[in-house]
Amino acid sequence: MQRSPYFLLLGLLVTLLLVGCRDKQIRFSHRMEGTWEITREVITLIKPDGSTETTVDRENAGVLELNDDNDDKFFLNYNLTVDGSNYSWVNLPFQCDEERKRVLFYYFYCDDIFGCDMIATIEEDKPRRQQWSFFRQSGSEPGGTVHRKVTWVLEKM
Amino acid sequence: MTRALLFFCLLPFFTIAQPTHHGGLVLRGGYEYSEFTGSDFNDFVRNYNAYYGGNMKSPMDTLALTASSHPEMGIGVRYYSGENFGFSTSLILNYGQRKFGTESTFANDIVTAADFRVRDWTAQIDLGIHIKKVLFLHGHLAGRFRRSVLDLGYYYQDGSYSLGNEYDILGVYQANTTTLDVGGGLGLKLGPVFIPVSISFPTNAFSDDGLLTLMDFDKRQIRWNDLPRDFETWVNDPASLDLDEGFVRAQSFRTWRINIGIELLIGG
Repeated sequence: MQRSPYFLLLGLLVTLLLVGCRDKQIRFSHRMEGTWEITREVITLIKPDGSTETTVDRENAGVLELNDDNDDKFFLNYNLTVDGSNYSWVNLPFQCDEERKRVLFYYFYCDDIFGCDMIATIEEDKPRRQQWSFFRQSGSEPGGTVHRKVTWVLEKM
Repeated sequence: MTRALLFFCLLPFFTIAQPTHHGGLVLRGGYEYSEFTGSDFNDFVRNYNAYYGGNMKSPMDTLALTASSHPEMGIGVRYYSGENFGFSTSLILNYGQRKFGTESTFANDIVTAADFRVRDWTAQIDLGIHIKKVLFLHGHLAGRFRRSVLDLGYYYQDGSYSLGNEYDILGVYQANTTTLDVGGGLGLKLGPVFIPVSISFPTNAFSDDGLLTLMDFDKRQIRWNDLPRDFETWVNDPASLDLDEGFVRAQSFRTWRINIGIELLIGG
């Protein structure tokens, strides 16, 4: 039996496997660093009976800037401007989750530690195009709760 | 037990004097039948259904204990010495994964979808004997790492899917379990093909004693949700949830298992 070539091959395969398993969050962070234009914003009300009402559908809705000023491999800082909004988001933490299925905007709705974050579901994840949606309860009608869905299409500038 | 261990430790020395050694690289494909050792997630399902009761059009089904059974593939090395009788050993690295899930529908047609994905990495060392290079008998130790991920999301009435935080229960929950498994098995060698069958049981070595849970958390440690077993108490009075029994524990995803495979032995 020739031992050395087989053990060498096994060792090489194990090494390749480990190298290939780079953290998803770090890879997403590298992809997202930069300036993204919100090329489309759609706001939809989802009614209890399944019908929907689109209240906003506009292009060039704002700009999302993500930078790595604090050298944290998992987190970026976000600066967000949304046209027509009274809010401003400056230098706040942003990350994706470990499975790269959601993005987390910390202190999005308010300044408190709890209850102020916005978590959006990643619907499209490409190097220069992203689509995210986030939801809130928005009142009620006969039949149940109305939900407000905001969808952003982002393209890298 | 001590005598058996001593026998297996000394066995190689009886075979070293024999002139013939065989073995080589192993490519493996197989299937793992496994059963969860705990049913914590099913407790969540039952409690969730009970809480929403009449507001559900169709409740969530509990998961079968065998839900995480899956095909597997692996690579390794196998070595044996002697002609009619001798020592046999192997080191095999295996990988397998499985997706499964369950869902419920509220009366307003919102669907709660619980989608699991489990991924298993196993490093197994076999030690044993062979008879005429055809029948192999062995005991084994295996290091086993399982990563379980649960996407608990809503499908809204228009088909939109959300894992967001508009409701606290939604999220991506994760649990990692590391076990030292022990077991035994046998194998048949037919030319370059080896057919092993083995059974394994998780030990309490490396156990977290139930402290780790199926949890949705972020690296800032600002927010985390342990998936509750007692959903009603979690909704109404979360501070009173029992810390030991109130949440879905990571160790409930440990399994005992039966593995059967086909290996191609390259080199001897």
